[in-house]
Amino acid sequence: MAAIEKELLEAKKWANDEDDVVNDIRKVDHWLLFGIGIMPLLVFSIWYYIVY
Amino acid sequence: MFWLYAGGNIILASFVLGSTYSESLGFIPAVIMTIVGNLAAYTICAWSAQKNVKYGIDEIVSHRPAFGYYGSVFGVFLILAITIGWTGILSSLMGSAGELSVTILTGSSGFAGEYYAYAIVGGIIIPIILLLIDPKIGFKLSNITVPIMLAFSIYMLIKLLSAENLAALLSFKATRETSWVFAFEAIFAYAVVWLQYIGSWNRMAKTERGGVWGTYIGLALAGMLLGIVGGMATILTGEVDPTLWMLELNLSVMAFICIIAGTITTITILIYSGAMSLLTVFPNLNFRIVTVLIALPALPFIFIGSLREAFDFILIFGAMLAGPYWAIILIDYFLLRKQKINVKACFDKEGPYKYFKGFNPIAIFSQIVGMIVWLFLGGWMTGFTFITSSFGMTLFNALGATLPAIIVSALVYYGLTKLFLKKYSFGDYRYSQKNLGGVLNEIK
Repeated sequence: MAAIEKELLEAKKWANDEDDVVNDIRKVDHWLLFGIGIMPLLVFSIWYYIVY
Repeated sequence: MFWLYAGGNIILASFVLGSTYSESLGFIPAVIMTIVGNLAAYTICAWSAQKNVKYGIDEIVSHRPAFGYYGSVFGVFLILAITIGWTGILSSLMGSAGELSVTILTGSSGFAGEYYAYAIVGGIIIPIILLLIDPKIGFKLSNITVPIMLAFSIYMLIKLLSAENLAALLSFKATRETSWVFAFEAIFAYAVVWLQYIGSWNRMAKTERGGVWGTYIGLALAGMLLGIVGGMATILTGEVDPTLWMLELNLSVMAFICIIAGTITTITILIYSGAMSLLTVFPNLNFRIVTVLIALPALPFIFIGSLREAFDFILIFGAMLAGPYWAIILIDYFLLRKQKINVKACFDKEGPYKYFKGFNPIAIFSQIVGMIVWLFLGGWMTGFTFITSSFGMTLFNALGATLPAIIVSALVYYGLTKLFLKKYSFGDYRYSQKNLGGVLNEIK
């Protein structure tokens, strides 16, 4: 129970200030995520409609 | 972060997901669908992870900029509802696994109602006792059970790829009862349902890039592996319940013991996460009482007709409620706030995220619109005739339901917020635009 109370109390303290942020994500990450995630599904859907 | 998220998705329900569409699509399309579907579906989890990694705040707290200080309580309701559903489904798996394990070990036919006894004791009572002893015991147990389940899944995949099985898989004639859209809908709904849990872990990540990619690769790879194994096993045996196809595939009692240990671990982690979400909003509640109150409502799910029905139920309602909800949060964070939120205001009841009495009416309206779109397209899946539309069914076969609901609710929220921001100042959007930390509002 002590661990729970500690975690709840720390929840607010855990919040990062803008200065503490390790802001290393870039636009290329978002585009890469889009490319890896969405493009194969689009290709598959076209293939499926053609074949079946 | 990779192992944390991969471990989170190495659960029995991931096997069941692959089983839901494999017979309809057939072997090769089902395998490809599992790969591309998981790659696509978990992008939403990765994007959602970023805000929590960046600001180190809990999932529910990060909903306040979009839904308002009290509006984010809807997220707690979602977490609790879905936790109760998953607990019930996993408990029913415990019932089957316990029944079969005892039969294999003792050779006896068992006793009347033993399925319910094992489900209730293994799925509800034991996790409650474990959580009362040590609330974080699930995470400790997962250090043992996740590697075992991972090894077991890889072993299963190798076993299923034997020449004999492969010939049977390739010669299987797909039923074509549903299209690939239904399969993607199931995978996407499954990913959306997980959004609430992964958020509370993201604040522990050290870098944005590590958190986002760890979330994505961990969840997607685990989802693919278990989905493919579950799908192949169902094609070979015709069974959806993992314990039943394991029996048909002549796996030893050790497999069932792995299943039981893994399921108990997952249930304890889910109930812990649900309880912590509630305590984040209502810190004066007692953890032990909350734990019991979350676990007990899962009992009815044990008595629902079949595992498939219970699984469909949680996916349908989880996706309908959670899809538009997270769409609004993500569009607010990425497009309207340009990835900048006022963290201090997230903890201030009277701060800029108070909106109207603690609720953001635009977000609530957009949520309702998204749910209506979902019901129009996917209402037929609920079985209720009054929300079944033949035109909606036709559109569903081309679009699905959750993804259109997400897109519509996000567009409505974006459009209305932009419209009202032209006339009024609210929600501390100036902070995001000029990064002045709410100072402008204080001056005004």
